[in-house]
Amino acid sequence: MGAAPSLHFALRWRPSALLGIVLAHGMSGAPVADDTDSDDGLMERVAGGDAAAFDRLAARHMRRAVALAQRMTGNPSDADEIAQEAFLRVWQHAGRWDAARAAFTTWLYRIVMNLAIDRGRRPGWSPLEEAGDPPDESPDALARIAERQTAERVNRALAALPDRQRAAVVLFHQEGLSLRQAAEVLTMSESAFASLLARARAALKTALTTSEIL
Amino acid sequence: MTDEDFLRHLDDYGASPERWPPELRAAAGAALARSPALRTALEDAQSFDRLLAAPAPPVEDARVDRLLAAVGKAARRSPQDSLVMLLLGRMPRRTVAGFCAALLALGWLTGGWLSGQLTGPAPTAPRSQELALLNDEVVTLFDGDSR
Repeated sequence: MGAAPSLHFALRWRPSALLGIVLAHGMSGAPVADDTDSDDGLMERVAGGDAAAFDRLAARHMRRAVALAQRMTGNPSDADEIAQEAFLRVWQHAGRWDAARAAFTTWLYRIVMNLAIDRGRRPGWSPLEEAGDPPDESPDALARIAERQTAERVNRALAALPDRQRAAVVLFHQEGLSLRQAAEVLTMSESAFASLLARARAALKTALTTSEIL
Repeated sequence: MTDEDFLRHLDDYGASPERWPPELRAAAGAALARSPALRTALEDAQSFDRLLAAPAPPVEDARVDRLLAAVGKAARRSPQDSLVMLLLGRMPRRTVAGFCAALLALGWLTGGWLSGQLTGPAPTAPRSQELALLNDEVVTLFDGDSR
């Protein structure tokens, strides 16, 4: 019974506490760190139905979620839909999230990756983008064109991978997650993820060697 | 770590030994320090990794704002999980499965016990009492006609 008041207290804004923090910092303009403003604190409030906390959390992570979805799908409009759906699920199922089991970002990444994989689309290069650019007159134009063509071939090779292998490359090489973090996102053991990543890298190396990029 | 081991791990995990599994890192550093051939192999592998590490696609501020507005509106129209879903959702799946199985078993046992109780010999009233009751009903039924 003793825990109930503290939980109740943690889920509410405390204007007097905020006032104290602001006064303590004076006019320095230094960012104020408050537990309720951390991802964990915001999620506690979202779980209690606080829509303003949800807005703040979404504003903090939306750009990254969209970029991740776009890396997986290769398509901006699919990425937008996935990011929106992911945050809607965060709102609806906020109570299921458990800080002791996963960081909020891990949970969000997992939702985005699952939605992207479920969608079953493959990333790819955009023919419109390829044809639409004006001619490049700069001295290093040829180098840029070659660089771009290489990127397109890499994208195609990535697109040809099975979904989970592509996810492994995106999380580890493009998002810069550690083996453990990426394994948590894909809900697998670290050794299973390492094996998945190795298969993906081998497949990509073969594909890029065949297309004479390597 | 032998040179062959190092090259295999290089293929598997990429050209940043500091991101390899923790138990391999020290040995990888030692292998690199002693072998120029491995250092050359590492440099070759770095060019492959650079190909894979594509920059993040640009996401413009206006696009983020539009998405935030849409998702904020959608959230305010959507209900959150019920209390039961919250309780079950926080449990590991195996625990939830076990909990459901236990509930089913409890229901089955309770049902069996209750049906056993109900199908037993029902208490019967003595014959004279039945007749008395019938007699009372008859008197009640004919009470109005007798006036």
